[in-house]
Amino acid sequence: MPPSTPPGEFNAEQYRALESARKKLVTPLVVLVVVAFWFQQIVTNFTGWMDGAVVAGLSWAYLYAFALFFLVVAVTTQYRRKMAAIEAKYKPSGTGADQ
Amino acid sequence: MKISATAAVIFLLLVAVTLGITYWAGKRNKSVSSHLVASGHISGRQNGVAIAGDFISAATFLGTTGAIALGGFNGFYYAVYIPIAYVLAMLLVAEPLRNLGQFTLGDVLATRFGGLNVRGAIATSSIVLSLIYIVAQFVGAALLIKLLFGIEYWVAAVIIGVLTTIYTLFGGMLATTYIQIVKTAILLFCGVVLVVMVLAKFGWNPLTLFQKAEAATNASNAAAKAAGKPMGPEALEPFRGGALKQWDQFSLILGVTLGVLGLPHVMIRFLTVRDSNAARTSAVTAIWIFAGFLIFMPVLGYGGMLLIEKGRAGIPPGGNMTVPMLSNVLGGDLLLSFVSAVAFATILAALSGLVIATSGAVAHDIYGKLIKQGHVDPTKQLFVARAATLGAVVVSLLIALLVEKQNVAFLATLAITISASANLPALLGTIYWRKATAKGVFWGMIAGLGVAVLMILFSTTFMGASAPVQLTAPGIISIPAGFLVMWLVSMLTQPKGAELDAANSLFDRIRIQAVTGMDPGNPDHLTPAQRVAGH
Repeated sequence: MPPSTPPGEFNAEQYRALESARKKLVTPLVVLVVVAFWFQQIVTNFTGWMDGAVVAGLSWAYLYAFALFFLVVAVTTQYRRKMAAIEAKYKPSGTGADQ
Repeated sequence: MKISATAAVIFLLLVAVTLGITYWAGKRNKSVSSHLVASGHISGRQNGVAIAGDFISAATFLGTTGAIALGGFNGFYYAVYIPIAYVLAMLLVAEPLRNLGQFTLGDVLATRFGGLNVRGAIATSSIVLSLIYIVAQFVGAALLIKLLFGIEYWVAAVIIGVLTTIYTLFGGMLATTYIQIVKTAILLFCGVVLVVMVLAKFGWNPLTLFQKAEAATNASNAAAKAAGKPMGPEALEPFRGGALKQWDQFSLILGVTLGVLGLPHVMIRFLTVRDSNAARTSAVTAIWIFAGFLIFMPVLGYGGMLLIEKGRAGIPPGGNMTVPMLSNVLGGDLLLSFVSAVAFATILAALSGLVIATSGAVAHDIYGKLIKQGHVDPTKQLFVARAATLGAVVVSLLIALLVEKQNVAFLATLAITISASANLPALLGTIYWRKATAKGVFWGMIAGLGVAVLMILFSTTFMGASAPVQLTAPGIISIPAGFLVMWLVSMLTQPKGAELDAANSLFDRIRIQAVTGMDPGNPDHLTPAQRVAGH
């Protein structure tokens, strides 16, 4: 576990800004991933909407499933880049942001 | 299928490499911290590769490919959920876990709920589900090795048990991690070789392969229909076998997706790096490997369906032999031997991670915190950790030898559903919910665990077609039950007055530490103005 930092070094304003910025970044990404994935599960598992072919050899169900792989790469890229910026701006020194 | 001398040479070479790693790690494995979490010295990238290796197991590489070959699109569900689950783990659990935890999931809960009940419950849940998972892996692995190498089941089980014991007992988490990294690299190389060889047979165009797979299933279904036999799943469209099967499928995917976020052997990997930044790098690396590798699973599945003699009919039930058979078709004895050796290494690496997670819960949570109340001699604790390592392998090996003839496929489902139903509500409640109480978290875990186990016991798996529970995957009921009971009991046991102030201060402190990795110290030092709204 990281070592305790004396209370005097803690800056509540700085933390509040960090927590708020983090929440604004994480919440939409979680919602996006959850909705995209469970919509795919429900639509392919309970309806026939995705049964047809987009082109010969590729069904809508497969196209959607493949798109989820690109979605996760986009989400991780976005999250990593934005969290680095948020931490550089708000995170107290010596807590891992600069490592 | 029996394998030649080539296989024996590759197999021995791989075992020699893994033992070499264990020898190197063994010289550095001198403390509880190094044994359980490699002293936090693994880099983010290395840990990401190891995490990817943990989940691209034999079940994924061999099982999912087989499921696509035999079940068409529905088999791909078992690949798609993995990167999704890890993205959720990255966003919700990985960084707080690194900032709050030391050796186990119990540490995270104990930062907020100091009583022994909560730590005891998560430790018990972790040990139970890890042991169930180990037994499931042991049985599957021994059956696979029996098939691949043509040896007796018990011989396969003992070889696996002995090697896993050596890796974990002497090398600890450091050896387990580096073996996992080496195995992942070889597995990815193996996957790329197979994908390239399959695509070469279909004009380098995946759509040509998909079209031919569709034509093949259409033709076999037309023949089955003409003969009055049941038709198999089509290649490219989802297969829906009636309401019950659809809900069961949905329940299974719900359980395995959310289960990843509470699996001890997966989550403790985030404790092997030095800080939350490295934990994030670990998750991103693992997710990119998943995305890059698993997206090609249909190429291998349909390649197997089309290139193996007699197509689907030529693949033994379960589909696990699809990749080895495809390797034999594409590259003869050499490639088959290579794939078999890689499958073997995959099994050993996955088992080692599970054994370390179990020994951590025993040595740190049960022995160190519950029995010794935190006053523990590090040398004795390391001895207990090693004894627990040996015990976990021996117990699992004995159970695996006893249940050779039983169908234990439900065990893996049960383990990961317990993780989603018991561990996940406790973790999320502790990290994110201000109103969570120790009693709420405790009873939430008991409810999630109890409902999952009872539903399996009263399901068709144990009681046949007339069972009161028709679902074989309990997640859709047991996961909401775990969350609901945690919420209900927490609301009924809300603290008041000074206790409420203390609980709020502690939650603020946990939030700060979860987000920054910095412990703001005694919560009494935080004035109300410094407190931050809960989430």
